Parts: sequence; structure tokens; C-alpha cells
Amino acid sequence: MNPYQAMIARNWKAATPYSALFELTYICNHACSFCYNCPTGEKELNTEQVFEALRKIADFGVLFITLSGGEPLCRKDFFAIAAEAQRLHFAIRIYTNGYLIDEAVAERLAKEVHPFEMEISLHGARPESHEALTRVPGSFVKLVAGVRALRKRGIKVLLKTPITKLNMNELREMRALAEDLGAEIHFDPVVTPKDDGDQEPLQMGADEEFMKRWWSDEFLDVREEKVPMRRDDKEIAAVCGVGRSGFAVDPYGNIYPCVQWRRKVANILEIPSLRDVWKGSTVLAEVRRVAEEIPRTTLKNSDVGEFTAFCAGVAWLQTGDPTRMYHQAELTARFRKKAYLELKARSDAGEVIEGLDNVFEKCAE
Amino acid sequence: MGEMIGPDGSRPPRRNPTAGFRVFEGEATIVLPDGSYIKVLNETGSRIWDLLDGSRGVKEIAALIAEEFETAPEAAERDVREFVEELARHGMLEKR
Repeated sequence: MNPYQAMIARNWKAATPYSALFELTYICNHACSFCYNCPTGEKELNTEQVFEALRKIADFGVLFITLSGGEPLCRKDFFAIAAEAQRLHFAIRIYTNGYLIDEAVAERLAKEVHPFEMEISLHGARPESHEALTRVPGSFVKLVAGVRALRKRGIKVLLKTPITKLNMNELREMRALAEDLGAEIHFDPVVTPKDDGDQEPLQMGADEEFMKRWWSDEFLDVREEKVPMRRDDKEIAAVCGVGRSGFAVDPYGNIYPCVQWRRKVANILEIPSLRDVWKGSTVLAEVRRVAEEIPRTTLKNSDVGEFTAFCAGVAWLQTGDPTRMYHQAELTARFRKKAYLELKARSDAGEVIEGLDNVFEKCAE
Repeated sequence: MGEMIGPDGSRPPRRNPTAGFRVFEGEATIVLPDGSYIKVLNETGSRIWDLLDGSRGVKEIAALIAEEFETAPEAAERDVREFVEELARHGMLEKR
């Protein structure tokens, strides 16, 4: 364990968060068909209120902040907010669709914000597929130009791609595009429900037949996870770091244990400090307890438990019970287990397969 | 490299203002924007990092470290100088 991992482990054990995701606005210049945001119509935080929230988050010791949305760059005061985050010594990540990043914006980001990473949603390898999801003509070309402008200034870019029916046949081309742009790319085979529980976005997810192929050798050159990782549930303390390593804040100031699990903890403007609510919150105590219970019950009782990437928030949205196995997780786990067993058989037959014995770390970020 | 500190410590070194950092239980974690370099400092390193606000030279920082950590002044100055140079090599100090 290197010093950084040791620090993460220590924070985790003390349930002291080191990262926060801040949704600055639900306003967006795209109309993605599977967006999970659910604006309520309430008034979003103004500049001063965002500053106050940032100060409270910094005072709590949080190092990593993700400025997200909606589309965060849609806020007219975005650079003032980012400058305040910089002044407070956050390590800044920005999650954007890239549409508003031209040379001038990239220059300001490089000179004024210094993000350690820009995460940009890419939905296809060509305009037709990307824009079929964003529903904004010209968004693909703008994204590509934006990534080039950022890379030209040395800013790290991670392209994030949920695998959908519309792009599942051009993943290889997307990886090639990322390489051409000098960006990293992460494919997510799981599409999540909307924050209000609406399951409609799941219809956009890749079909079962494709998922079977995704976890086979066919996509070995595209997948980051070459060998499906197992989880040692005897060793693992909790299914994830929910309620411990991070939290999310929405544009109204509401604090949630996680961006996926929106059980309100408090409103950041109504509390003197995060420290006060973090230890005493019954919601946080409950989500921590559930996260610890899942490996010992849900996953232990499943024949694919050790291969299951389980999200309590998604389980809650899909089944109403954060501990209940949900179809998406179980199905993916079956494919992952099958792929693992095939590789294991090849290894047993003498082939060298690296990473076969890897297991998830004892505590998750 | 352009960011090296003068050998006599006459140009007070200063933390890279673009680096994100926090101190948790006496240990500073630093994240650099260019290259996403992450470094965790021990207690002494964290205290030096805290003192690198541009108002003190290496000698002055070393004197404070020697006093606070009860070490010989000469050894403290050598260690602080090496540490500051290491931080500079990793881009953790302001280019001046």
C-alpha cells in the first residue's frame, strides 16, 4: 500500500470524506435522452451560496471536488466559482459535455482553474450517433474541438461513455478517436435510472446479447478490465464508500451520501458545518450500515456475488430496497463470472493470464 | 527548469498556487494539475509545506523545523533544502 492508498484507507476507516461532487446547475445545453437529473424547479444556489458551500466543504477537509451539472459551464459565474474552488486549494475535476469549450474557454481553464482532470461525455464515434443521444446538432464537432483545445494546453481529459444501443457497435472507433485526441476513455456498460426512479433510461442500455459479447474476448482490446475482478467478501468491509469517502451536493444545496443514492442528509446552507452532520446523521449511519451489510448478505447469498458490481443507490432506485439484487447487476455479474471461468480454465491449461488472481481492494473509493 | 531555488535560499520558496492540497491528521496530500501527480507528505514534510508560503527562506524554515521537531539545526537545514529541491523538481513550488 503506497502512502496515497494508506491515506484513502485511513479516511475510509474514519468515515472522513476526501471527495465531493457538486452539481452546480441542472441547466444544460444538451437534451440527452437518458439523463438522470431531475430538476425540481426550486431556485438554484446563487454565486455567494455556492461560495459558502465550497468553504464548508473545504473546511471539512475534502480535497477532490468535481464540478458537475447539468452542464456546469452553462453557469455565467462558472469561472468565479472555479476560481473560488482554486483559492480553497481543491483538486478540481470538471464534468462537462464539452460543448462550450472553445480555444478561449480552454485557455481560461488552463490559466485560471487548473483542473487535474476534465471528464467529458462522449456518446459515439461520429456525429450521427453522438448527436442521436445529445439531440444537439453540431455537438460532436464541438466536443472534438474542445478536447483538442484542452489537450493542446496539457489538460488531462477522460472521455466517459455509457454503452447504449446507439453506440455499442462503434466502441472500437471511439477508443481510436480518444487515442487520436490524446484522451483516455472509460466505457460504462451500465445505464442507470433517473434520480426519481424512472426506469425509462434503461431502455437505452445495450442488450443482453451485446453484454455477453462485451465480457468475452471479442472486446479485450476495448475493455479496461481485461480480467473480470472478483471481490473477496470475507475481506471486504463494505460494498462501497457510500457515507464514508465522499458525498454529493445538488444545485439546491441538498447533501446526499452519493450521486446515485439521493437520500437527503441536510441542506448545506442550513448547517453550520459538515462536520456537525457527518457524524450525527441518521441517514449516513443507515447507508454505512447497509453498505456493510450487502457483502455479508446480498452478495454472499448470490452465486455471482463475488463478480457483482453492486450499487446500493441503483438497487434502491430499481427495487425500493438498497440491499436487493437487481437484474442489471446480476446479469452483468453472470457474464463477468463466465468470462472469468473461461480465462481460469485457460490458465489451468497452462496459458499465462495476467491479473487472474486480482481482487478488489478491501475498501472501495 | 526555471523554478529552482537559489542555493542561499534568498528567494523564498512558495507552494505552487495551482496545486490542490489538504492536511488530514497531520499529513498533507498534494495534487498537481499538470500530470495529476499526487504526493502524500509525512508530518515533517507537511509542516514544511505549510511554511512554504513565500514569506520565509530555507534557513528560516529549517530553524523552525529544528525547534519544533527537536533536531540539530545543521541536519534540519540540509533536510529542508533537499526536501524543497525535491518539491521543486516535481513542480510543487511556484515557478519564480
